[in-house]
Amino acid sequence: MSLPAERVARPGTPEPSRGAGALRPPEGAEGAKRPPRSAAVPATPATTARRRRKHHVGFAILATVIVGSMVLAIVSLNALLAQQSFRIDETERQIDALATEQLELVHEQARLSAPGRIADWARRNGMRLPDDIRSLHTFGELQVAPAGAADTSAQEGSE
Amino acid sequence: MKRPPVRRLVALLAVMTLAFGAIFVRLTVLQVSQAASFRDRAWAQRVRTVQLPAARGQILDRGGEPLAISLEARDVYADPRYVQDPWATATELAPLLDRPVAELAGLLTRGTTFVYLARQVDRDRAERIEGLGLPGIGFLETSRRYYPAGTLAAQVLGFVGIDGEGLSGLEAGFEDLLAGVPGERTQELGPHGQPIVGGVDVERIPVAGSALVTTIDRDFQYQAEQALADAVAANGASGGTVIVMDPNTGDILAMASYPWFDPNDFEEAERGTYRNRAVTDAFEPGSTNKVITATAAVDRRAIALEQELSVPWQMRVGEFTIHDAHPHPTMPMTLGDIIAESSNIGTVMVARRLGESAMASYLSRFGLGRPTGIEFPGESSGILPPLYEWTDTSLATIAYGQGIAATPLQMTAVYATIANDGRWVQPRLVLGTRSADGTFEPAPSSPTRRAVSAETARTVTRMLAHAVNDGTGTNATIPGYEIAGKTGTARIPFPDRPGYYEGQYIASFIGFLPASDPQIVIAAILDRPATDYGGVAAAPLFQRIARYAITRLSIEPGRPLRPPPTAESQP
Repeated sequence: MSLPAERVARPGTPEPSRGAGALRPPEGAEGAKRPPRSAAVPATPATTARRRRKHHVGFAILATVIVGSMVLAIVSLNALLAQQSFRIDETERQIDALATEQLELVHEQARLSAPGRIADWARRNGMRLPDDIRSLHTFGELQVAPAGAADTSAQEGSE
Repeated sequence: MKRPPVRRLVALLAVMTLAFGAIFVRLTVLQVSQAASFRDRAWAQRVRTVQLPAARGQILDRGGEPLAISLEARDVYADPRYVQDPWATATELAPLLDRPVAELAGLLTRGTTFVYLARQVDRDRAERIEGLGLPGIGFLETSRRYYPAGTLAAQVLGFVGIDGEGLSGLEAGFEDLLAGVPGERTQELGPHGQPIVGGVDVERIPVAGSALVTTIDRDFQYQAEQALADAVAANGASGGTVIVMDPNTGDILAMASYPWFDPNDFEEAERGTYRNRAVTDAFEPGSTNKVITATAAVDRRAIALEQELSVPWQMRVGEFTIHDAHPHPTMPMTLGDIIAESSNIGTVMVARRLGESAMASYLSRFGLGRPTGIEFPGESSGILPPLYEWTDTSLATIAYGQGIAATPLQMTAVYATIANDGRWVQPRLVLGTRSADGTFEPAPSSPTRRAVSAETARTVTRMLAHAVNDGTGTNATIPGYEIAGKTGTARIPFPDRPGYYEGQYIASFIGFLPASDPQIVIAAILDRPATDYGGVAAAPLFQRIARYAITRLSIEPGRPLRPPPTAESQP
């Protein structure tokens, strides 16, 4: 015959307690006597709680610092990215504006250099094409160097 | 204790089961069987693809000067659903769009979601309209084709339609090259048209069209057009054509047909003016065709240069009598005299020595009866009847240029062949292309073929120079320069029946200079001039253009050629 398992209380171990009651010493026990303050005594539940509270505060500060730093880093990174994005947008706008300006300049140049416009302007200012063509002929063996050709006679003389 | 109402609970359970079952079934229908359809509908609702137009390539002259460019523009449209006060909106838009208020108000009250108010509005005006902040009015990016020199080379360049597609001329012929490849942007948009962050945003960048670099010299074209317009007016002609060509390369430096039109306002022009008649229209060349007869005779040695023929002023051919332009007694003439005096009878006598087969062969060698191959849409082949269709008068009439038809460009190429020592060169209008990054890609050189020997070409050149110096072409002379050319005065056939108009002619002069080292070929053709004759009407036009060519191209005078044997010079 088998029986259902039961938790067996160990001798000498206090019954586990919950909540505030757990910090309270059992009534009538010897441990209820308050130990002298100056003596190095083992930590009571109250000091343990205070220490724990201090740890909690420290942890909270640390966590806040870490999280805050991370948030700051992310925000900074985002700001940096946004700044770069704005600069790219601005540059693209400048490119568009310059392309438009270039096109307008091409248009203006084409309009101004149209032969009809120039011919009209020339006619209004009394200019006209020559009536006749005159050819000038040279005689003899004289060879003329083309314009811009280097004069090498000095170099030849020095050698 | 009171027991729960079992029946009610069962009923509630049944109702809930049914309800959940219905929901399950509906979900299955929506998410399984109809999922694809709804997914597509949702995609279509929130994803918009906008076409990004590619910049159309420019058309440039041979020096890189722009002949056609594209400017930024916008189409203005309305979504009448969002127009709050159509009449007030129309009143504000009317002066900016140059349209009547009532017309705009009519468009703004249409039962549609999209209506164009104006196309290709220039950027400044579009920005002013945008500044009004009118609800329901929107803009689409586009471009507007602009021809800065107006009517210059209008028929060569052609024009572009409202949707940016080339409709005529080089604009149509090189549409694929000029148009480029449009791009597109696909975006996922919210209900109010704002882009959804992290949604679909794909852009295919448009590829700009390449620039077309033509062989046209803008300044030369302008001068040729001015000379043509003046000649048409001075001779009371109905129109005319001018072609200027480099005989060595085939480059067309100028090509004009009068009357012309402004491609910036092509819709306002008469449609007949759109045609580049130098390429698309054939005419009976008349006496300018005698150069082919003379060349064939020299090349085949059908007649010696010194040989004199006894030439009457008229002759019976089949059922018809043909005659020279002016009555004259029967007189001895060499081939040089026949060309110089442009004798029809003498030409027929020479052609009879050649025979039909040889004559047809030389017409073909000079490229008549088929397109020259210039890259221009709608080029005509001309009309050259096949040999088996020749009648008993064909040889005679074709010998002096009636009964066949050729385009002005074909006839220019004939004279370019003589100028180029007997090598036929394909005319060309395109020098190359320039890509968006500025790289120039030259077009391949024009194909050439030997038509006649160099010796024959030089002999015929002497005859043509003699025709200008002492024949019918004296009005084309320029002191200091020897010009080779031939006049033509051709009757005009009825378009719909056999026969010719009385007293109406096409006057022409085609020639080159300098005769000893030809640099340029010029064809000057006038339609129905009051002055009738090629030597009177067209030769001065040739001379004026040739004068400009000399200064523009720095053409040297060359050396005088020995004249061909003539009856007078014979012992």
